[in-house]
Amino acid sequence: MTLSSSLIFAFRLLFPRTGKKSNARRSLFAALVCIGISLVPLIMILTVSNGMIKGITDRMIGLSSSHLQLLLYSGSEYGESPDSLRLLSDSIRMYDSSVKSIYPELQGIGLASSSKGRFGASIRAVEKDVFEKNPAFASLFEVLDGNTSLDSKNSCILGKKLAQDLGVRAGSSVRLITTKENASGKIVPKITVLKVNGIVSSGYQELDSLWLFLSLEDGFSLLSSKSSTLQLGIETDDAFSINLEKTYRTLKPFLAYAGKLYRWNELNSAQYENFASTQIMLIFIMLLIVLVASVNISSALVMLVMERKKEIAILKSLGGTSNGIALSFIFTGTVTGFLGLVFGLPLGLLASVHFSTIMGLIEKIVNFFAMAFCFLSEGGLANFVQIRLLDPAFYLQNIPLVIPIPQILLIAFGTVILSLLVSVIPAVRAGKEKPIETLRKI
Amino acid sequence: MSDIVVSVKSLEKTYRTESESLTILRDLNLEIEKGKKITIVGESGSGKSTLLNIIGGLDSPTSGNVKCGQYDLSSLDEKKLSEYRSHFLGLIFQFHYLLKDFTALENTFLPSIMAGLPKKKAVQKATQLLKDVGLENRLDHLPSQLSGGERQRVSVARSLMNDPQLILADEPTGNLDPENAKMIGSLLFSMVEKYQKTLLLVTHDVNLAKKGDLCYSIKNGKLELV
Repeated sequence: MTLSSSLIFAFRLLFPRTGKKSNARRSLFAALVCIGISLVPLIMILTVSNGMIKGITDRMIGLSSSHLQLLLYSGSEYGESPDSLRLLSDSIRMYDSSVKSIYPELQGIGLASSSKGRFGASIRAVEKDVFEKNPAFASLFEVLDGNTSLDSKNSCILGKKLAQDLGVRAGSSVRLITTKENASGKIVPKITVLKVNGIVSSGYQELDSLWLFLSLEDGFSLLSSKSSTLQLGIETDDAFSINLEKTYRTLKPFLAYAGKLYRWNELNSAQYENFASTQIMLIFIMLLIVLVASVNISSALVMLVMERKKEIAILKSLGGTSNGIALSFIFTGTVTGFLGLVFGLPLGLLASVHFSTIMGLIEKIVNFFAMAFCFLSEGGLANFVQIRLLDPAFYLQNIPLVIPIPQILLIAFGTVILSLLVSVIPAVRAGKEKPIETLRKI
Repeated sequence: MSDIVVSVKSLEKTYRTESESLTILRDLNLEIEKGKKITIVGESGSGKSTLLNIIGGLDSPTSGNVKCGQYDLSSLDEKKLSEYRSHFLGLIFQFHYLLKDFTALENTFLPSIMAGLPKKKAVQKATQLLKDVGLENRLDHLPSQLSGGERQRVSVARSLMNDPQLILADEPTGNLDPENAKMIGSLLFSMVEKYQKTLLLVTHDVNLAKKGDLCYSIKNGKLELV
């Protein structure tokens, strides 16, 4: 039996001219739909998690760790003043041309206080023009109120969450309590009134919830050298380029006397591992759903073999081989899986594009039922607490759409192969049908 | 070279159940020369169709030897049996056994495609055969759109598609009205004559059986010349 005759028979199994309402055909169609639907969450998870990881990674690198970060040793001569930091930055730029820009920063902690209470703040003393000069700051920070100027003395810019907690807006004042050494070397609290020039959000609250930006000069005057860290954020062309490693290897010995140099992925390794393992676990669960859905193809083919026993017997009596007939059913199952893929893939991508809308809708439905449940329960609506499925505290507000084409191609290939594999057993059974037994019964 | 197309020696077929065994064919011998038209008559359950199924490689004997052309059926594996059915045999059954989703033309050319003939040539040949059986206007009709006689005519055309040496016909007129039965019987013999094939036909119809060169009947599991 030739391949072409197997394909002709398979084509008629898939697209019969008669008996279109057969149970086997319905099952085959249901298997196709199941495969398609099972692919939707898989593609959504893959696309959305990739987008989320990319968005978070971009923010971590651009707004926090930089491509490379030099942590200056405590008591380093370069930490005496902003100018000494700038001097070190200039020498690095001159030493390695692959370094595109350097952003000096002094980091410490303090207590921000307003009429609403006191809240911990992560103080970031940066160059006054960093919000304009640093492309990541300029593109990733959304200015929610005021502006990003740090030109005037004792002015600050707050992260959205801290500003909300403090209940302040642009133009308001906050008190910042830091620690500073006095002349005798004792650590004493220092209270400074700062004017809030602006409120910003990175779109990822986990990152910017405690940020309070000051000018580098103010940072030096407010923070103790013992309780703060000096660092240089070193930017190259591309954080993901292989050249970053070269730059790292060049600069590491050069800067060994000043401080310790880190790559961006070293600084955030725990979080990246967390993201990756969560993503893998979710994909694995979704793959199990696809696997279960593909088993439907197998059961639909078993029904099809039962229904088509007569045709199988006729083909065998005409010289059809077991392998040729098995191939027809394998082809039928594989094409069913492929059609499921054709149905599910665009649906999954469409759902990924509208992920926020879909989640918002689901959130509304969940809250509606939660509200109805509270209304009917003893305490009434007073017990109702808004349910947030994707709490902005842990997720990006706007997830960038990143379609992982190689991974999606792998899923497509895997789905077709899976459909082929689950078709093998019923197909082999079809091939082993004895024509005489069927023909006797007709 | 021998002109014997079918050689059946000491054939026995016994059906066994848990409680009893029933021997349908016993010590049956048959030789058919090339180009001969042999008919077999017999009562229902006498073993006519069983003999045909064994010669057709669809059933296996309990003992004995069946040789058709160069094929010794007892030594053929599944693949060789398929090859035998595809290249050596043309089968016609009481019921038309056409594939319901295939047109008359497709049903006719499918055995050739299965045997490896290019589709274009297969279509040409099938069209000619369907023309020979008077169905040139029914090429694109599904079996459900054909009458019983027309379906059986497609079966006759299909049986000749791979240019087989032997045509096995198992009561080809058994399911037709007398008029159609007569017409199909005549058509079958004329087609076999035209394409110079060997025919082994099993029938209840004595008039049809008389058209053969030799007519046998099966009695007590053995063939007797009528």
